[in-house]
Amino acid sequence: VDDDRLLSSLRRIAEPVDASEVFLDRLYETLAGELGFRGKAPSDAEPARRPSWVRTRRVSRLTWLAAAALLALGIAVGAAVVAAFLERSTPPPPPAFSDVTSYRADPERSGVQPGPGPGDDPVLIWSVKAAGPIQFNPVLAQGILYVGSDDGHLYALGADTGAKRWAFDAGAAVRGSAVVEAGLIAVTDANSVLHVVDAATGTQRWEIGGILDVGDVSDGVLYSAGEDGVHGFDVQTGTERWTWLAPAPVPYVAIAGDTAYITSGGTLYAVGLADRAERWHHDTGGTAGSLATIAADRVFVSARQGAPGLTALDRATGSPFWTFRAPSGNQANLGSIRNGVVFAPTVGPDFYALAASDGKVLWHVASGSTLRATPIVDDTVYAAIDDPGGVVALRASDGATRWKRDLGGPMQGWPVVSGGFVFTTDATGEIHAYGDRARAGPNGPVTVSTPLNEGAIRPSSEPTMPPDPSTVVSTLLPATTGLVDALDMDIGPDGNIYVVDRRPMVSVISPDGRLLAHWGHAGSDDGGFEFFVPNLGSVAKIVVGRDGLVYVSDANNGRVQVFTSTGGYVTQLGNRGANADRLVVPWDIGLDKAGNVYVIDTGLGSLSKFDSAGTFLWRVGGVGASEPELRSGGHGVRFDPSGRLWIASDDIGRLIALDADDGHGVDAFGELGSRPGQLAAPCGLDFDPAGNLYVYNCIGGRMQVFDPEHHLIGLWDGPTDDRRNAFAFTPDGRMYQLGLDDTIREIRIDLP
Amino acid sequence: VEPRADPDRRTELQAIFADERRFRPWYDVAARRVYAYLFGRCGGDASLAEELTQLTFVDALRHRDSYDGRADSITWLIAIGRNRLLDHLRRQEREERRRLRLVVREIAPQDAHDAAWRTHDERDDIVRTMRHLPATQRAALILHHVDGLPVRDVAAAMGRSQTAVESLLSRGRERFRKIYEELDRG
Repeated sequence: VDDDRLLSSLRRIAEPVDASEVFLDRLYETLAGELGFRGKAPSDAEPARRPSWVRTRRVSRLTWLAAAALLALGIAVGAAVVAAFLERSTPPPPPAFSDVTSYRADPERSGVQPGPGPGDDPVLIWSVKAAGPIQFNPVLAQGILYVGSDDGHLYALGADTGAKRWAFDAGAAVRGSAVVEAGLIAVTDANSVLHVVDAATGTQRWEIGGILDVGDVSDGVLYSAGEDGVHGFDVQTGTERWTWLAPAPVPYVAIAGDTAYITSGGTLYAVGLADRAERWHHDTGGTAGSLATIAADRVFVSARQGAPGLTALDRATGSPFWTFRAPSGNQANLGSIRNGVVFAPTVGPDFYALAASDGKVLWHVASGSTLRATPIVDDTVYAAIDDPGGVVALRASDGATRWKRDLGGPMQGWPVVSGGFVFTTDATGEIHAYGDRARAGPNGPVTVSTPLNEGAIRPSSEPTMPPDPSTVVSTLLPATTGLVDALDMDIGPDGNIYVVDRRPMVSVISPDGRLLAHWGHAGSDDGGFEFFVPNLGSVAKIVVGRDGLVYVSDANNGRVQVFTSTGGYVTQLGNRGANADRLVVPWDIGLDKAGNVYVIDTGLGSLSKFDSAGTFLWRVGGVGASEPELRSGGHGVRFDPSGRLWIASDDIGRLIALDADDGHGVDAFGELGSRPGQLAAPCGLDFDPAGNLYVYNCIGGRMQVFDPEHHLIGLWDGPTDDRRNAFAFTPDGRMYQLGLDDTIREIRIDLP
Repeated sequence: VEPRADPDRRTELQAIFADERRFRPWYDVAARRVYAYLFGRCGGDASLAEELTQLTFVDALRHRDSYDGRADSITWLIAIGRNRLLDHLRRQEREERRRLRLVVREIAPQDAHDAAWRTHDERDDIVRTMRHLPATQRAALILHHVDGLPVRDVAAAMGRSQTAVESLLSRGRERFRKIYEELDRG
């Protein structure tokens, strides 16, 4: 493909194609709904009782204003007298801060917060401002308010004064929800990265990508919504414990009891936590669904973009009980639910209280703008006001307005109500705490002008250097072994060392350095090798099976040859044809206990499995795959004690475990880098008998040891390598390592 | 010359969004154009192209007040679509770098020749080749070679230096060539 053809090919990408008519019609209906072409005019809706701050006529408002002024004057005089009396008495202690550790306050997402809230005339107690808008649902634990901002930080603020405890720099806008558990706080950023941070210090513990919503914790497992499904991580270590792959990205997951309620596209799935089996699913009728709310025997979910309605489902079967659609045609959501009453804001001016039993309207108010997040505390529903920004407190029993405060911009996160305060956030980045007047200091509200993001804590701290566990106990020199530019080695069941070198030759060497056998010649006939691959150099790998058979990758001949332990030709795997079992540039090889053979083909960028008879079984990765992870093939191919197949992806610095039966991913860890614990072109790995994983960095020549929980427990640096590294373990745990100078060293490992 | 804001165009689009009789014919043209723009650039992934098309229109509705008539309304939509595509590719890049989730592509020997990616239709091969490129390389190739943006503008759109974009283009072309040849050989 020359340059001209390449560029003309690229330009063909712009050629028009026809869209599906079904899709175009569906999208049209969605847009027509959004534009109001499908909804009733607001005047057709049932008469709304407007809240007091907007529903009165002008004359009436003036009357009320005059009355309020007189009343205020009276109150002021009275208050002065009372204040003089109270000055001499001891004020009652302020209420304690209760925890609100997750979005909507509990796993069922009821929206019920413990409070207490302030009285009916709260004043601003303190305010601080982040450097960017806030599109985040704050949480509160142990008297600390946690707020994320589009300025890329998660802030921890003292709830009583607003004083900053720490700021964590996530590197991208911190949005969405958070959950606090066991001294850790989990948040996601706008790049879909989940960060888990020490709640006391702001130091990051671990992170992982591809996560859309932080989800919730159950039994120490953080169930998070991802681009490909729901993933359950050990909240302390980040190790993946649970996976459920979804047909579409998952924006929300709720965990209640033994069930995960997973929203994916327009469908809500109920999935058992224990068996990962789907219990039921419900199609909302929209192209997207809301987060599920669970209460008693019901699950509530809203449809979005298409058929906007709020539906109550049977928690056991998923069968719908009722669906509520706002007369305006606007989308109705479940804001909060308590004592059989559903508080349902709409994307519009209407706010409803519905009976959870049958969906009937109990009361309805129409405000001046959209009310969003609506936590309930005692007899008060607090609602975030979209535009103009503000927060309003409504009486839960009848929707009457108790008080309202304006904010600098639209409020998009949930208010937190705790310790006698209401905490609000807005699109200008301001964080406000409203409380009773008695909580204000003598000089009025405290407004912190220092930028909150000063002194932010970087996400990663320098890891500690583990000890060097290696001691060289003996050396076999090339003068005795006869090796010339050795490429790879393995230990046979007989304890002998099998080495392949560039001549091309396979040598069998006793532990005391005697050459026991050797074979090989250049060519493509049986027993012939071509190790040199254009643009790649000389590459070869050798593994010895439990049955003593010797497998050698013959890279430029596109095959793996099999020999007896004395060099007798047995068979070959793969060929250069066009069938699925073809091998282009076979490199790393692995053998499982059953004798199946796994071959990484760096030409196809894939991993192939053959059975012990050489029959092709499957291939993963490669240029034909839509997944990027294995396109470059990787290195390694070794099995941990539980039979999982591990490879090292040198391109992206990850260690990947696959189910050897079908090749699907079951575990992965590691990140690119040259610091301790990081991986710089990892190109060799093996397990010791205890299950510790040894990984060799081909950039820098560092060997690192990870325990079965993926903790770094040992490290030593070797010479910078050009991939000609090799090491293997004897059954009793001794390690042999091949050096660049063709020296074989026996290494004793003393791990802590 | 920097185009100027055109109040007439702005008024026209607002009228389109206010009246279904005007919206329908505009949509019929615009939706097909946006989808056609995105399809090839999404590597021939129809469901992704549909999703991004939908997001493009939702964005357009939400931010219609920001339209100032500097370009015609469909060009404006396509610019929104391009931003949506870049958002997607950025997420994909993070995914490629940070996350490893392998899905088996089972190929039994007997149906290997029937595997969809072995088709010899040239355009399909081109589009599929794009799908196999790393996200950043794909973004750079699309913006520069397909959309014709100068390297300076590509760098601005991707938040990278011009040198980094040149490097991405060079590596992207080589990778494209390699994968395309592989597909072409069948």
